[in-house]
Amino acid sequence: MSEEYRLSLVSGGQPLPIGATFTEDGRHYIVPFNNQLKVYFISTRQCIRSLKFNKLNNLNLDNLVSIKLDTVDPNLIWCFLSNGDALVINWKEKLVNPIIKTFKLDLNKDDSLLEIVQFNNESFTVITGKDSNKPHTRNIIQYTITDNTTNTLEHESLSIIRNVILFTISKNTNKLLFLSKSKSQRILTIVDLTSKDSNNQTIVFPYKSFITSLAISNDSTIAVGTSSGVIHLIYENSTSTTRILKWHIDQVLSLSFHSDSNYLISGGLERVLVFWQLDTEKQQFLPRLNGDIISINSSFDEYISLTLKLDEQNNSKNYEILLLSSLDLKSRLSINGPRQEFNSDLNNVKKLIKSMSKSSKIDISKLKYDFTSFIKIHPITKQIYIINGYNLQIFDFFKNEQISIQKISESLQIGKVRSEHKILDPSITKFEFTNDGKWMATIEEHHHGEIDNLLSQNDLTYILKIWKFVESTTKNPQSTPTTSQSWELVTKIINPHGQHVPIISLISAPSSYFQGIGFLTADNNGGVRLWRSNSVNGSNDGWSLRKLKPSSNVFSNSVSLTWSKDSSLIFLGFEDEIISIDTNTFEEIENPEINNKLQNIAGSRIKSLDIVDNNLIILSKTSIKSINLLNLKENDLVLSVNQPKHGENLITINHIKNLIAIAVNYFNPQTNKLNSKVFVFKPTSKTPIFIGDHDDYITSINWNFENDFIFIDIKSKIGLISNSKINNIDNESAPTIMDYAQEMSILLNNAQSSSEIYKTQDEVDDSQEINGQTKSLDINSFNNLYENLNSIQLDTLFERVMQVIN
Amino acid sequence: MGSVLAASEFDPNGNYYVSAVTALDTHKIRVQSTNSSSTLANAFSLDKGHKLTSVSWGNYATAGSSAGAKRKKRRQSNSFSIENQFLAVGLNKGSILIYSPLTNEVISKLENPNASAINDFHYSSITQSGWSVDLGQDIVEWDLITYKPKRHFQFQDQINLIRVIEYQGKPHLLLASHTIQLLDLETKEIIKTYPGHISPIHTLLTNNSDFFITAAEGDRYINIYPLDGTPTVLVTQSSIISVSYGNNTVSAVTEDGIVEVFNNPLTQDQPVKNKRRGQQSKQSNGKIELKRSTTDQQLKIEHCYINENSIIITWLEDANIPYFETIPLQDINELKTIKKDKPAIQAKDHTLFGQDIATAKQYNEANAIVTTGDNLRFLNNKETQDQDLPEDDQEEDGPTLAEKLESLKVQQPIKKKQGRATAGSLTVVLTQALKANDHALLETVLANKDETVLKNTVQRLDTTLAVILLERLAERIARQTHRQGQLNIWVKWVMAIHGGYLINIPNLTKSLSSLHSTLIKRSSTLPRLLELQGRLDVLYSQQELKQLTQDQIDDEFHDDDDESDVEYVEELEDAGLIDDGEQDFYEQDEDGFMSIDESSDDEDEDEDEPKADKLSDGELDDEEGFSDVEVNGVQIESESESEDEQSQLKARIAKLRAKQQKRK
Repeated sequence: MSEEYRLSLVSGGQPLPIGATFTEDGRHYIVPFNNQLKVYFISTRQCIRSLKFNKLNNLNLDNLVSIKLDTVDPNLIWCFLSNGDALVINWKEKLVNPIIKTFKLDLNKDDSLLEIVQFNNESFTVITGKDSNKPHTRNIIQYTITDNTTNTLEHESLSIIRNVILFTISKNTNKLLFLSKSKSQRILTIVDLTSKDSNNQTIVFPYKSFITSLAISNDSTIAVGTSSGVIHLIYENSTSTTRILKWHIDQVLSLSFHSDSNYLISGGLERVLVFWQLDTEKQQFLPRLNGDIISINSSFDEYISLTLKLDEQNNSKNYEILLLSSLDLKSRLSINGPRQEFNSDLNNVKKLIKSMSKSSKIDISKLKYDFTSFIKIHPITKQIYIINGYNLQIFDFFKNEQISIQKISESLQIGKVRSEHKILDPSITKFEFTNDGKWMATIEEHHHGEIDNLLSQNDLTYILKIWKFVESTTKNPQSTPTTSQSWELVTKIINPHGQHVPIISLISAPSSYFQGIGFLTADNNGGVRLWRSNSVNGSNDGWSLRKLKPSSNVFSNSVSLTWSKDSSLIFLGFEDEIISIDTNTFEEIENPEINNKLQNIAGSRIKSLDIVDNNLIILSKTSIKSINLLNLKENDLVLSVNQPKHGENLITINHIKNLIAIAVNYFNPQTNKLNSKVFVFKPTSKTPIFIGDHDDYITSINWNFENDFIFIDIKSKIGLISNSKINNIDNESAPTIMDYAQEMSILLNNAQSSSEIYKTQDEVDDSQEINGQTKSLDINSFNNLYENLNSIQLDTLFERVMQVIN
Repeated sequence: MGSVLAASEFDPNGNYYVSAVTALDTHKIRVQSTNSSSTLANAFSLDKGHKLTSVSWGNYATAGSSAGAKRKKRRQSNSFSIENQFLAVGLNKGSILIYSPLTNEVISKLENPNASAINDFHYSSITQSGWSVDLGQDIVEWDLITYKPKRHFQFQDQINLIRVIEYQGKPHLLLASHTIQLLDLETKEIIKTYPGHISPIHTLLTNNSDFFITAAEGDRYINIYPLDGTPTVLVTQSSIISVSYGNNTVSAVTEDGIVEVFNNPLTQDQPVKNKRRGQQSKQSNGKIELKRSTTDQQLKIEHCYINENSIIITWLEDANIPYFETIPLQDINELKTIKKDKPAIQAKDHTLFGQDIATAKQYNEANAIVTTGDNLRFLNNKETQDQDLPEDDQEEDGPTLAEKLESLKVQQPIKKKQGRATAGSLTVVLTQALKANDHALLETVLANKDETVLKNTVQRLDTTLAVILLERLAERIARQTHRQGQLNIWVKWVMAIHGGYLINIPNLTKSLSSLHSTLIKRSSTLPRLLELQGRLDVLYSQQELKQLTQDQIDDEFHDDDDESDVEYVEELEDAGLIDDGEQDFYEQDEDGFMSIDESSDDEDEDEDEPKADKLSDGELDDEEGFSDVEVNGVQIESESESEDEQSQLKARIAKLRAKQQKRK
């Protein structure tokens, strides 16, 4: 087999909670991600430019403090990192190295950069101090660039405020407000950068409530948000009396004055954005936001940008940047990344690394925690579906955008406060598509929770829901009809396997069985049920239980199912046994020879079963095995692995080419990090046909129903394992032909940036970038390039590339 | 009937539509524009417990203008604009809300002096006032400038609807229940009675001319009554839900979800109709139906309204979002079919229903079928694939995987059980009841409670009838909860005696699935009940204990009576010691006795405010904010009142004991 595989990171990533900024004309919005910089064109909601961080440009904005626009060249941005590094990046043009220059600000020992107050190309005022929640000294320092070529900086300390807990900046950046604490008093200090005298106005905050957020307006009105939900307004001239705004009932996480200080905007755990008209004290609300509002930025009058903290569970730090129009309060942009739900708390990563680095003898692939997540790819649309609590996030791999987030279960629509945290939301445990992609089954789990100490507090209800894929069209007179896709609930089955019986495994029927319109579920005591649609010709008749294999009295949480392609046989993996079931009678096949063979083969708890080309692939806790079902002989493929609890997330099978891909995460003692490898096997051979390296923990791997495997890692980056010879231009980690690819991409990037000059300010043309879909450069586009590869010059090759692109 | 809308109404101009839905157990009233010229879409919810009973439109412009404007009403109604419109919402608690859709606020609340549910409210431009009628047959005239009742009198009959109509130059009241009565406002005398419907009238249209139109519940006839003269009758295909009149055309929405249109209903002498001599009722001239363009599925039209030269129809998408379509009257023919795609709801469409792209997509559970895993009706373990399905490629492939595996089999255990046939004479009545499907007869048999009689009856029953008997029993158990005890004995004996036969019936689970699921559901409550019983037992025994200690204390108090003065001083002196003793007791107490209702509030307090703990230095929340501590403190108190009592008691005992020890 001459096929070559390649692993590349192409998509995904999480937006950073801070740093998103408008371009000078207000038409674009630059959003930093953990793996790229994305530029959105606000009116079309399209990402028109993404600057990926890779080994070539060596960019990393992990500790970003702020992004500021260059005051001279609109194409440049200055990114300040907390360690004092400043990077000047060209976001607009496609250059080989987008970093124009870098320099470093001198900081005191232990101090880090906390905020950029004022900025222009020559000088900037910053706040520095120790990055911690405890009271610390904050310095206001002004840096001036004295020599542009050597990047020499002079700095001058403007002011020092001690024991600062919180600080904030007014909208015109002239006023700073510090909350400091001395003894038992809390003092608000206003620093006016325009006045030269160093007499800062101070106000003692008379109340005892814990302060969670601050805001200061241009005319020095101070808003103080407290943990009890009360907002205090303190006016400059009347320090004794304060006004009190009450609506929030839990912490006020963010406050901001809007344009002319007439409006105050506040947000908190309720997930409701509150507008206070300060003159009349009228309130307006924007409810049902997707997450806790942790910051509000209204510096650009036309828009209000919010940072929402999504997903409480498992400490996964997912943020959404939501841009609202301040006129109609409708969203203009909502930017987020894949929202995975990890099986284990991400805080355990540190623990894991710590424990692994201590002891040297242990098996580096035996990781104590399971950070895998459950994702699936829709067979037709190829969109990635990700479980997120009671939502399913639909993420487009090619556009690298969330398409939509679909609610699967009813739940509270607002954020939880105080005792409401006891109310537990339902959560999706499993979902599956039929092969034609028209039906989806979801299984959700309802905890009754410990409200009121009822008898039912430990009850669990399981619900199987069957959804139908509906495409609806909207006719717009101006534009072409747009189709929108949604899922419509058809049948809801409560406690599908009886009360309190959890469903561990869910698969869809093979296409040969009633056109594949069917789902198979297995519970934790070995019961198997088959669900099929009642309808004959697609009318809405609901689904019902059609076949049933009764449960045994043995319990296990390792249950897996697979169904042979010709639909005649079902294999049930239960603990470490494999039970074969005849589809027609739904009874166990009682054949001592088969049963003996299958019972003893796994050796440990079975995580996953699948059938590839008459070979049964068994992934157990300690091994992966393949057995030929026609002669019941074990294949060559026998490997020892250490799979986590939900090891089924790390194995996938390409049913077209009959290939198995398995991801293995391990601890790298050299770098003290979690790394991973992806192996691609044939079912009969133990020699992998491909081994790929990835420098992060892989949480899930899936076959994309074509030629490739798609995986997602712990940082939500999405990677592709493709088997054509060349797959993507901005390849970053292909060690085999790195030099060649590098040279290619440099040439290509240069060519594109030079062709950029000829384009006249046409925004949309930028979207013809690789990740855009307008002009798709897919895997096959470049196939012709490699004809007579040996005899051509590099220049000729380059011309060919340009031909393909244009 | 069967609509999710509690009420709906077009405004007099057909530009706005009000509909009421039940949302989260309250009625939510929504006002929407019917065309794209206005984007108004507002909604408000009633308070909990208040239910909407009627909704109608009114107009302030006419309310404010002088009484001399009577004759110009026609023109005014055309100039109805939303600024002056209000909605009158009658509530079950007897008040009427006056709501302004434009400002989205309730302007005023008219308190009905009688506080019984409002049946109807009507704003009349003739009298320049609002008229309401309630369940107590009280008729109230409202001044809508001062929002006070103007006059108020009782009527002897139940009234559903009230309208004001001009008769002989003076305003008169039309009161409708099953019949319509014309009431002279000045003399309060009934001038005329128009009989006509056998069921309560739900629509009464007056149109400032000298006739009115009525339609009634579950009735196919629309009556058009001239104030003097014989009525005209229009007839539809099925029961009428609502009627609209305009432009000399009557339209009616029927239960089938289609609109029937009658042109020139008043002209008796239509040339076409002339041929049908002697027939008073008229059939419709045209019909409108609504279908999906792709699937041909019929959509139910909720309401229609004739406005000038067109008819507006409305239907619901996603179970509760109204959509509108305007059809010119001249386009309506014998059967006009309108095809509609399912619209995708976008943020721009309606602020009320639209969905912002950034938010999570909602779904609709209203159309889904809900079932449980116990439902075995469709279960068929022997089912195989239909042979009709094209599976050519499979046959070419030869044997299936299962067959291949089968061929490896060494032996196949053959299980065959012989059915045990039991014969016997019949218990005549039961057999007859079961065979004839005579439920009354069966009841007489089942009413028998003597277990030996019962046993003999079942024993002699033909086994083939056992399944039928079980099915009948299952039906009864499922429907009548209280009879389970009695019927269970029957089930038990059928199982015991005919069990052998039942085992051999193929697909028994399927035929007895209803029995199975009811029994499962019933039996699943047993553990819960036992648990509850256990808890109650603990509670009772605690109560007993409490009683016991109470008695003890009483005794002790009795003993110490004489020396009480001295003790009091001692207690003060040794306060510290006593306190310690108390504390010890408390700790024991919490571990031992309070296990039942131990609330976890204390822990939660800590979790809720980790930050505050870090930095607070023992600060408490300020007076203005309701602090966590206070809120939870109150909760704890209320939740554990009984515990408090108990612990107080214990504390007292502890004190006494400490005293006694001191003395020693």
